[in-house]
Amino acid sequence: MNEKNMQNVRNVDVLIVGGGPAGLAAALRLWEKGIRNILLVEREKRLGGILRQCIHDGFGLARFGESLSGPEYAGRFTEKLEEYGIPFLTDAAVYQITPEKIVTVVTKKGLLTFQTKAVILAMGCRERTQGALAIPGERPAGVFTAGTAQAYMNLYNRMPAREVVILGSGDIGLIMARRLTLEGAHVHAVFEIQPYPSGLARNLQQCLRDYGIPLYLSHTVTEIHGSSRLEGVTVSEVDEHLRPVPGTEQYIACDTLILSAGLIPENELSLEAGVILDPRTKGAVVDEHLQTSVPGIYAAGNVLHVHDLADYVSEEAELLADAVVSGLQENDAQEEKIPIRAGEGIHHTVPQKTGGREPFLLSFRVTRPMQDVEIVVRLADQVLLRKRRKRVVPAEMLRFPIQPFLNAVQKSGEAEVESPSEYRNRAAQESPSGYRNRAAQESPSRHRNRAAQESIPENRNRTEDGMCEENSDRPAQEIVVEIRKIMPDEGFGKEVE
Amino acid sequence: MTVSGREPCTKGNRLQTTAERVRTLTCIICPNGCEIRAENKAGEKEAADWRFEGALCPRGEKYALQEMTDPRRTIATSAAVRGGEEPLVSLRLTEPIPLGCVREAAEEIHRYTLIAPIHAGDVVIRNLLGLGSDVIATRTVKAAVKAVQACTVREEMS
Ligand SMILES: Cc1cc2nc3c(=O)[nH]c(=O)nc-3n(C[C@H](O)[C@H](O)[C@H](O)COP(=O)(O)OP(=O)(O)OC[C@H]3O[C@@H](n4cnc5c(N)ncnc54)[C@H](O)[C@@H]3O)c2cc1C
Ligand code: SF4
Repeated sequence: MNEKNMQNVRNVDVLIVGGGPAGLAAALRLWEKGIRNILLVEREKRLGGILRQCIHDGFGLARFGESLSGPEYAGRFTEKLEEYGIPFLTDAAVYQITPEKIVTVVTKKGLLTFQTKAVILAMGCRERTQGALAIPGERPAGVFTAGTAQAYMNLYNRMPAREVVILGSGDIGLIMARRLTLEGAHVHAVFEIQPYPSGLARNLQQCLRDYGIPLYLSHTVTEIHGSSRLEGVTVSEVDEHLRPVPGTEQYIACDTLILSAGLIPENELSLEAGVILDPRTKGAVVDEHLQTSVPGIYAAGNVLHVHDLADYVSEEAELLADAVVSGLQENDAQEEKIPIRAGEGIHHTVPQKTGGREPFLLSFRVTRPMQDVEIVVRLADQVLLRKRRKRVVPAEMLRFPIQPFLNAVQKSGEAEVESPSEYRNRAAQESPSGYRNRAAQESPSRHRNRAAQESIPENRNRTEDGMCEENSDRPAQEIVVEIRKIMPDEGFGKEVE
Repeated sequence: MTVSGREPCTKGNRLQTTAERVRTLTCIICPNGCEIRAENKAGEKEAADWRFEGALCPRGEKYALQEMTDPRRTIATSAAVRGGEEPLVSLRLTEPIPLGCVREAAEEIHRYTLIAPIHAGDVVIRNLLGLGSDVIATRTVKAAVKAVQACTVREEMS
């Protein structure tokens, strides 16, 4: 950056990228906590994010106790934003974030540059298109994603379809099946390549069954007909390896094929800032404060991992804002984190690591539908959470609060007080030899880091079956989240959530 | 604001006696989507005559009883807007209506074009099809030009 530009750099404490439910909730919470030098930047003309086009109801049940449409839900936040007078820019896209947290924004009037103390990533997600349709070649007009159809109808008042086939059973596709039907289109069917639906059960009921729209599992579109405009599709059954079964082809005449293959976090900016991504969530790797691998850069909402409920997005962003506030005040050095691993039956977790000294919300999804299961979160022998569920599905994000399991952060000079279980846990990890003496001379934070490192050999010998862990690239200490089926003879008690 | 002038919809398939004794429902009240098995003991529609299994909370049983005797839904749709900053406004119902009337309700709403400005929460159609539910705007659409008339509703095709 040259001299001239430097002079135009403005200072803001916290810059929020994106004005969807995540960005809005973060801004409000920061403001309420007294952080006033903040700026929210949104690239669209209006605030509200993707909710502006989600006109169906079902938002806000968890938060406001009533069923609102997307625009109403967003409205609750934007009204407050204006009432507080929180500074925001619209029609302004964040173009670059550097690891030093210098943020460049493109506006119609030119570039703006900000030096920030913290950046909140809240860019949301985009729709998956690649792989949604494994058919090479040109696409005739009439093939588009569910979100595009939603925008046409709900933002621009254009009816894009008459005879419709939907590929993929994601929630947006299901919701569009209903919307198109009520607008007078004919939705032939929804085809899903997997043997189970990817949308929520309630949407299968109220968007498909209510209108008699059939859902075919283990089916996909194998051919597209038409040159300039879509004329029809061929659908086929697939086998357990998701390969089309010859002889099952079926032709359906239609003018529109809607792809609903799920969402993917939008992280180009994060990558440039040096943020490390999780290949499973496609969002940033974060700790219990939702802080990314770059100190001072945080992420929440769909940019971090795909949510099915906006209510949870808002809540996550508020927790993030709380962490930013303490981060700004304490500015403490990064402590050692314990990795959290998605074990048997778990697709991914958020966060992916934690210091273990503060409560946090653990979110995850399962890899496949299961019944009568037990979810266990453990650190070596210590069980941090054990929950039973009658039924779990990948479409539903599971969330559980996890309590601190290491002693809370100590102010230096204060005596350490541990609960008996913490003591036991620590005692199990530490070798008795002269450790206490040494610990006494060290500052609490050094002590903690050391405890984590020193437990390596002990931990290795302590896997459940008493076997020595062979896998050397696995960290010495890790939290494992796993799910297992409860056997009939174990019974299924009243503990169900 | 307009009171919908058409005949009340009578397609609500209100159940008098249950032909169907057992059915598995999906609760749509919250994202858990519990599967509820509903069984009717006496063939009547009072709560005491039903047995429900599988609901994780009491709201589910309430839903299941409603669903078995008088299924209802709300809908969200939109209407074209004249003279606004946006070409349309999103709408929803204030109360659920009988499932059998949903399509007709959507058609009825589509007969209207609204004139900006419209405020979120404005009632744009009262007592839709005589079903006891109002249609309200779910977002604000400001007038594009200064001198457009105040909030009025025009029934286009009548
Ligand atoms: C097409 C679509 C339909 C959906 N439908 C539903 C639904 O029906 N129900 C439901 O519960 N969930 C739905 N979702 C999920 C929904 O996105 C989340 O519930 C919620 O809106 C996520 O909030 P967010 O703030 O994380 O992201 P978003 O709401 O996506 O907001 C992100 C915002 O960031 C802005 N932005 C991105 N990059 C930049 C940049 N570089 N500079 C400035 N601003 C930027 C975007 O313009 C956007 O406004 C849908 C998602 C999509 C993509
Ligand atoms: S029964 Fe209760 S928990 Fe289950 S889906 Fe219905 S409202 Fe949700």
